[in-house]
Amino acid sequence: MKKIALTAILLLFPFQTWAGCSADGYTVIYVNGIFTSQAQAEAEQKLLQDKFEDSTGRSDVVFLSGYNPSHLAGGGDLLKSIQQAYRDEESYIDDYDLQTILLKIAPDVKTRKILLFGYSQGTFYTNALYHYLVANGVPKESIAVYNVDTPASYVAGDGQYLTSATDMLIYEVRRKAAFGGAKQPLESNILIPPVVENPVPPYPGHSLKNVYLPKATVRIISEVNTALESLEAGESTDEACFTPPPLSTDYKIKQAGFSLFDPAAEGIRTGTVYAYKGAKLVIDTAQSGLNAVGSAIRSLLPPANTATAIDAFDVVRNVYGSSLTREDLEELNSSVPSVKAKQEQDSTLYPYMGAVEETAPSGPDNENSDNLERKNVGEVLGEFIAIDPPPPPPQFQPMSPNGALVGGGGGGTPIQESAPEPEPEAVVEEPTPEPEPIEETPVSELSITTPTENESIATTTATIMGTAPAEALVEISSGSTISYVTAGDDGSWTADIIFDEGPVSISVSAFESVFNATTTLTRAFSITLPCEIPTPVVVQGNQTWSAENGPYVIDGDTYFRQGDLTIGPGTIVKFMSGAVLRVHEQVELTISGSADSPVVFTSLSDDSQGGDTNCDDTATTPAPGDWGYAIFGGGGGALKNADVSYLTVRYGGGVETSTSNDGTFYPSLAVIYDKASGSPKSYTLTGVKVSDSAHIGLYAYIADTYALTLSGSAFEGNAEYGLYRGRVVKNGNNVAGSLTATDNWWGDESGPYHETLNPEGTGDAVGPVPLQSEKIILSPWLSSTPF
Amino acid sequence: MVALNVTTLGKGRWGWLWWMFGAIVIVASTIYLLLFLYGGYLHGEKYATEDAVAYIESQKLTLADVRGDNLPPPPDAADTTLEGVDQNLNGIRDDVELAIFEMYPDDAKVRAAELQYAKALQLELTNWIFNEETFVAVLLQGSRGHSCVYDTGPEVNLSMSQEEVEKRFAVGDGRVEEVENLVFNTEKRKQKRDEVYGKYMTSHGDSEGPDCDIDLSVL
Repeated sequence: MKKIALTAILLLFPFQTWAGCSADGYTVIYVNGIFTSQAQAEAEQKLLQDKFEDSTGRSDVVFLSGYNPSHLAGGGDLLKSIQQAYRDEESYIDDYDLQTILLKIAPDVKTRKILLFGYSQGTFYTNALYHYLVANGVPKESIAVYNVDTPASYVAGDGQYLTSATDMLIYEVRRKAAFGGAKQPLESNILIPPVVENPVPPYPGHSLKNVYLPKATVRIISEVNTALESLEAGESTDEACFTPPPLSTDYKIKQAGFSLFDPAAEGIRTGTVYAYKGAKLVIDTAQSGLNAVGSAIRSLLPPANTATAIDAFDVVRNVYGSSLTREDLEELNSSVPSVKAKQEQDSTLYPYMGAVEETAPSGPDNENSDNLERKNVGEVLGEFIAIDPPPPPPQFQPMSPNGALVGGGGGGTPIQESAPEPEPEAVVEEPTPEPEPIEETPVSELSITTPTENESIATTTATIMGTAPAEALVEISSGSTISYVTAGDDGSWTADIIFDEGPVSISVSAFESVFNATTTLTRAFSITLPCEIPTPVVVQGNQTWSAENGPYVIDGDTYFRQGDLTIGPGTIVKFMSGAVLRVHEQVELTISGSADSPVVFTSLSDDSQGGDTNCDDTATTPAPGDWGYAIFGGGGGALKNADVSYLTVRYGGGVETSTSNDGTFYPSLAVIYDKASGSPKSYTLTGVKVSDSAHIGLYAYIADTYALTLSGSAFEGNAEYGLYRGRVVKNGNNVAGSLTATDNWWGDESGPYHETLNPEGTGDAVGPVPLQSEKIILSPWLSSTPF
Repeated sequence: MVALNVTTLGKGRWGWLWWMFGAIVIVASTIYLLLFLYGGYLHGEKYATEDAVAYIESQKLTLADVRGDNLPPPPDAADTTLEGVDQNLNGIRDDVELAIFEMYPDDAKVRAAELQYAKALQLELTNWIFNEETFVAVLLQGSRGHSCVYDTGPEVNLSMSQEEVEKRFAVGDGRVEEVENLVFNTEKRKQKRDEVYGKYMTSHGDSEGPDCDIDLSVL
């Protein structure tokens, strides 16, 4: 008797229940999508759990797996999910898989606070679970739903969700659901760049493991964490957290049926299945006695309530990327020996089918099956899959009387939601078409209206506009940058994209699905920002000027009194009218131009250097004396250090300066080495080119024992002097330092003109006549420019 | 005294009653026998399940495993068996164990975590799984190993940028994948895994206790 009792207990109560529900702690129940392998579903749940725990540091959350299995090698799920999309949420409370999840998790749910985390088709279940749990013992304030990549039209309990605009599966659901009249999935609310290195065919962007969890980790975990924190527990109780559904006889029959039928569809086990041609599968009870399986299969096929159910099946198969390939179907055809199809006139359940012709039995195995047509699972599924969507009836109106029309296909004919009335008298035999590969059908409605070809846009944020099939996903690529935007109901789309200044070429494609892309359009335009004169330099701390950030503009009298001034190769410094740059005293100056990329000091009007910086196009041209001068040293002190090479100075000399000995003069560049206590005793200027000065090119004031060496430089086109040596008199004594200016170019191979040292020279002049104590060496000079 | 005449049993006016009684007895006995046998089967499976779950849950990594005190020699490359070779009988397939030691000779933390995960995954290739209960027990061992491997990655918190978080989690992802590729390294082993998942995958609860068999902080 004990064994009998044990048997009875095991039969009636195989699922243990645990009494008690704690106000402490949290439970996250993860429900996977379909066409996810069992191992994949488990891996996703592990990843979610580990990422959550590692990034939050929480250990008070228990993660449960609410496993959502596939049936009929995924084929059953297609039917089921389309029904879920078409029906209200409460309709699935009797779903076999929902019941299974509830029964299985019941003993493990031990906390009052519950978060249901759904992915893809699993989000239909999290929504349904929410409704069930709230109706069966879980307070609303202690349960929440978080759905990722949801094809559902809502999140139960006003929960949050995350769907990427680049998720092609959801995009496909949206489009096809509109076509079939089902409720639209929620709008995308994040844009996750496609995972180029590991795409998930056939729906890039659709993967919890490879896309959402790695690419939106922070957002998902943060929102889940916030949702958990928002839950209110109430009091702990000694009762179970919720009441699981009863373990009914019907459930057990379905369970037995699936245990036999699912393996059959997987090709592991063969079986006998009869298929009603009206999309209703049953088992031949007379032959196999497996009416339990028939019951189970029927449970996957709730009555269709739409005229487009068969289309929807095809749609969903495409949408969910069935792992059941056409090759699988063919294999199933050969591995499942006897599946029979029986016509059933059932216009109530399948009004779109109308009356169906009874097919005469054929083949050797159907002696006992009148009105049965031999088919196998593969054929049955293949039949569904191969059926093309029915064309829109010509009598369709733009809108139904109740306004419940939805437009699809980019402004195409709206599809009426209500089903056509069945025609009971009609007799139609539907042949089983050969499965055909999914074809890529170009869509021709793509256009780019803005910008026009070769248009110049005066901002770095360009507005790209155009048209595409309604609700198509528009991909705009420029180089390696890809942006996505979804076209509206009217097919219009707009994207604001930031580009660098200069010429831009974009490619635009639109996707109605991954299999249904438009041809690609290209558009060339340019980003040309309005000209603005750069803000003049403001001296503040150490400064490093570079070619990339130039040109720099000097306005007025600009002083560097301390710190470092470093000017890199190719840097352009432009001077406004009368501007002066003083680098005095304790400044460490480094000008590190190069032969190919010298540092240039020039007029703001000099468009040949750094472009049209003064924004006047060609209205002004540079001229000698446009600006004042740059002076290194002097002002009561000397530079801490000066490392100057390859500096070009042009069009200066427009502002007077003075010394006590020389009075006023107008240099472009002045070098003052005086009072340089602690500073190097000698300096070398190399690669300096001074030209087009209004008066003096380089004014050099070298005092006491200091020495300046000037070589590899050029002086030409300076109006009065290429080089002028300042006179140094202290306490009535001339105390000039040393100036060596050999190996320079003076604009003529005859060398510089100097009244006493080279009176025959016709190049730029050097002055004045040196006093006896003044040392200046000019020879030898270069016979050609070093630049 | 009336003697029972067996030659007339079932005959006569009330003979049908005897036949009915006999039929009831036979049917009841048959039902009882079937239930008895079924109950015995369930009873036997119940204890077999309990034993298997206890064994699965007892599979813990030891410090000796991490130290490599008893490292096996390289297995015969020609071995094509499903379960492979485990000469040192520590539950970790020898080729996997040696590969992990080779990859992390100086990182005992990662080595310990990966060995634990490998040991759990190896259970999926054994006969210890024969129903949902034993399968879930193995899954939970695997879940602990998975989490333990993840714990060896860089620290992550939600104040970091998405890019930084992604980069840091990629370390754990890579190590998890590394172990899975080592354990399920042949088509036969992959098929076995798919088969086991296909047969027994079900909703299940969470593991209890620490993720790592050995506190990684002491390594």
